[in-house]
Amino acid sequence: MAQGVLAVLVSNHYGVLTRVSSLFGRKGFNIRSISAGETENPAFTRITIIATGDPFQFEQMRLQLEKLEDVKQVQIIPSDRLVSREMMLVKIHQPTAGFTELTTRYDAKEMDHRESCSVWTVTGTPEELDRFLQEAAGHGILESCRTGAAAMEMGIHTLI
Amino acid sequence: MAEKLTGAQIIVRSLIDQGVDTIFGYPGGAVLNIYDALYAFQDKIRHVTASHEQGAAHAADGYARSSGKTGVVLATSGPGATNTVTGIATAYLDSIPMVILTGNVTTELLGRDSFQEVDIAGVTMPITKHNWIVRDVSQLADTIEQAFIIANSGRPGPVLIDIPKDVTAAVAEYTPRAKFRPRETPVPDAVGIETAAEAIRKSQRPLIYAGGGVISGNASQALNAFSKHIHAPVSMSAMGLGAIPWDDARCLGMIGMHGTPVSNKASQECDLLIAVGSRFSDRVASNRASFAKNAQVLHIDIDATEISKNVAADLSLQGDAKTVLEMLQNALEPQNHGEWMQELLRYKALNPLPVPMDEVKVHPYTVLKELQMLLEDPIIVTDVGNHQMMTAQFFGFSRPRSFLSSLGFGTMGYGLGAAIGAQVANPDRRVVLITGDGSFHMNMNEMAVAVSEKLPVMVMVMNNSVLGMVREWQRLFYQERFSCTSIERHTNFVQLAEAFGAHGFRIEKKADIRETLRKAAACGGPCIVECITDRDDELYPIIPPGGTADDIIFCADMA
Repeated sequence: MAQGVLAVLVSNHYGVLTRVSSLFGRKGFNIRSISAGETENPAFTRITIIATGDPFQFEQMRLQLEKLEDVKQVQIIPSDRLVSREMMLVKIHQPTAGFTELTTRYDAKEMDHRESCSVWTVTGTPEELDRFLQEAAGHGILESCRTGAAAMEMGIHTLI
Repeated sequence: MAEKLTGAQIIVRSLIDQGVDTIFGYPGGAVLNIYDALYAFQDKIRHVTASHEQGAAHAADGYARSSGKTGVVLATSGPGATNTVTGIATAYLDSIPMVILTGNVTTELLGRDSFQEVDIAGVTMPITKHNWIVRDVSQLADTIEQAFIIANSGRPGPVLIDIPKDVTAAVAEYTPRAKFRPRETPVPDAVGIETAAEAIRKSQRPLIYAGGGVISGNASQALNAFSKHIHAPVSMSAMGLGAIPWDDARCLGMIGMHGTPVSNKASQECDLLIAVGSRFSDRVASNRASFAKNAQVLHIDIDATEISKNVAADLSLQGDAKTVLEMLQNALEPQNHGEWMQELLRYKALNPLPVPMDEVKVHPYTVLKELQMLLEDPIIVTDVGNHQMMTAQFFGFSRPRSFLSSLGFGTMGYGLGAAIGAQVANPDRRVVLITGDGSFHMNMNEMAVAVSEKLPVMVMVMNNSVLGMVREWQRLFYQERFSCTSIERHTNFVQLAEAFGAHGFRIEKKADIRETLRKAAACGGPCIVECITDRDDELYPIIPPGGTADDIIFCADMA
């Protein structure tokens, strides 16, 4: 199953995120991550969905999303023109030297340190964050929290 | 000219502006203001008070299916709203345009588990094209106009507007509006039409598979002309029945699980399948991988999500059925497929639908054929079960909007409400409900409405004392373990009819069918005709789930 990224521009209404996520639920499409936020134009919210499926399923996702009244535009971002970033908070108990080396490699920043725990932010592509978590597994992660990816296409093309 | 009106008055005036003259509903606390506003417009809007909100929703559906207009439902909050849910899902699955208005508790009480409060917008999200909670009275008129536009644009369907009680009391300016116009639909480009036309030119054995989109798109005449022009036979899904007259030489009848042998044979042997306004549902393409396996598929549909959803299309044209068929016809010279048509007609003659031979017993087949002879241009409504599929198989439909049945959702209990709605929309046509003892028991309370509204609906109850379709599957696929399907009610349908204030008849012998039907049709009011049928009158042919035309079971002896 390939992974793909959908950029969805919707009306900034109450309940729109529910409509989008429940559509994916009832059609049996797999969401890996979903993130949403108001755009520079407060009339619109932009939703980024990372999903898994075959090309036909991605086309169905696009068409089904376009049928929702509140959805203004949908784009499957071509993988060779994709910019995507995700942020993650990670809490570590008594970080070791190995962990410090890891945070340097991933350009992670320490946000807080108290009660022998430190909270770090890591930013990168979702795949980089996956790898960070794998590498950090031996360092006693207490908890982690990911934002879901934000994504857009490189170059001149935009939604609306 | 703007004037100050209450929300309730805006609702009623908006409905009138949108061309509504009939509403199906049931009063209650949260909609008191709306009912009060309706009181002043009794000369403009007929309100049919159902026995139960589910009946109101099915009635609005039957009204819409039989007339092409939008069905409108009004229900109160909480249980009133949830009672419409089965009716909304039924309309959604069969793409029927409906606007459902529900009241809710006041904005201030929303979210507090107040008396008769439910989040009906949340409940109906997956079964409406769109829905709204209107919290601001100044948004009401726009929302109602939008509701009619969305229900009727593209692929039709139900929409719901939930209105808190205080919004119906609040005041806003109202400016009268013109009746809605549906949105423009996509039109295929010249390249698409030419590519499809070329596939039709090359085809030696084309088959048209027409669905509900032909009915809802008023494309029946265009389909007839097109099928004649390209000399192609026509099979129909149950939703498409009436798209082409049953007795037309090109009509192969219903396709799919209980379809005609010739339709299913044609689907296997055609080299080009032209699907028009149909969606390859599992009742048609039971085995998606091998359905029409020797054919190129040309899919014409107004809804882009349907193309290749169930069966992959080699070619597709998105648009309104009537427009696309006319464009294709204009792009093509007349075709001739005499050999293919002869082959199918021969097969049809040798493989008819099985008909009962018994001389004494009452069989639904005989009742249906006698009704067809007796009644001129009736609207036939059904419930769900063997009686429904037998009606689809045997009653010959001559024109669209004459067969109303819950085919996508399969709602037992749909029929009586739908028949009432159809009779309201068509006072000059005979409306007949064909039902079974199982389905009729579900919502027979609506009989009271037929009586009080003076709607002369004929209700034919095929009483075989069992849940026939489920029982048949238990026989075929569950080693005759008849679990809970021998219901053996002792309802006296003649007395039941009389208790409702209707007429009651009973048919126990084949010889009495014609005379009793004649009496029932002439009785002048709503009536129930109970037909005592045999529990083993099973439904054939059947393609078992997952099977193809190669797996048709023609009769009980083959099973």
